[in-house]
Amino acid sequence: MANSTTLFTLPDGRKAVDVTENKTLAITDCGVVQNVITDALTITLPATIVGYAYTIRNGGDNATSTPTRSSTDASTIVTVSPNASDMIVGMEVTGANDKDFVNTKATAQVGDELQLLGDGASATGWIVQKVKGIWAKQA
Amino acid sequence: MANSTTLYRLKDGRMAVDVTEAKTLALKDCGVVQNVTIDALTITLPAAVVNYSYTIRNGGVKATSGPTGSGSDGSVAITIAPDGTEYMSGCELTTDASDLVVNTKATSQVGDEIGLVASTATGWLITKLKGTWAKTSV
Repeated sequence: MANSTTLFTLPDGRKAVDVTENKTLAITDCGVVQNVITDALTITLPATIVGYAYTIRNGGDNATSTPTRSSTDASTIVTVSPNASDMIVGMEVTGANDKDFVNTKATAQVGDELQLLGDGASATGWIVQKVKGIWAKQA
Repeated sequence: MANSTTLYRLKDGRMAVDVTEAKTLALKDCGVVQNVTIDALTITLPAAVVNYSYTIRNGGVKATSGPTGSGSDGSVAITIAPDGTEYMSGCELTTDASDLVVNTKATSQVGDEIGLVASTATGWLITKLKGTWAKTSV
């Protein structure tokens, strides 16, 4: 089943879209919270472009036979993967090209979030604007 | 003792790092709340690079033998210094080149915060203010 394009409103008022399959982000995904609700998905960033802004959120994986958005902490691992020649920088970590950032499942909480802004620079790529929860850089 | 690089989760979910010594911010400090827990520190901004963004928060001085996050109001003054002749502007706070922005100790509260994003035109734009911050000419 393809990823949804239907927006909904988070409790804080922001618009979001559920992500249930691996997804490569595009310009149309800017400004909408990418709410990952299936375990072990990878969100792939496009090659960095100045001003592109993405928010990836851990929405938790719904337990079987439970209502939508009744998910629990530590149910979803989210991987954010930059383009091979880009890096994600910030979070007190020195950036490196093609290194993923992973919202570790064991410590993940529903609402963990990573906000990224593209700078279009070949020496960097994506600058962290805000982080909630524990995200680890790929070794 | 050098500044910590260990992140922890604030009550609102954002990730933070404690600042216990004067600190010059770098690219890797973007996106993490810089939680100042020692009085009278200066946080120095790097030369503005578009899209660099920082959040500096007053964490208060931790009570003696108290747990992390037990800081008290009126215990910490924070000074934000731009690089060279750059300046910070926004939120009805307009500074001149090289001016400092100070979270005044007497009126400071734990959780006071300033958000900054770099702009090529001015240096730094203030995107968020909590608490009383005043410019200090140099």
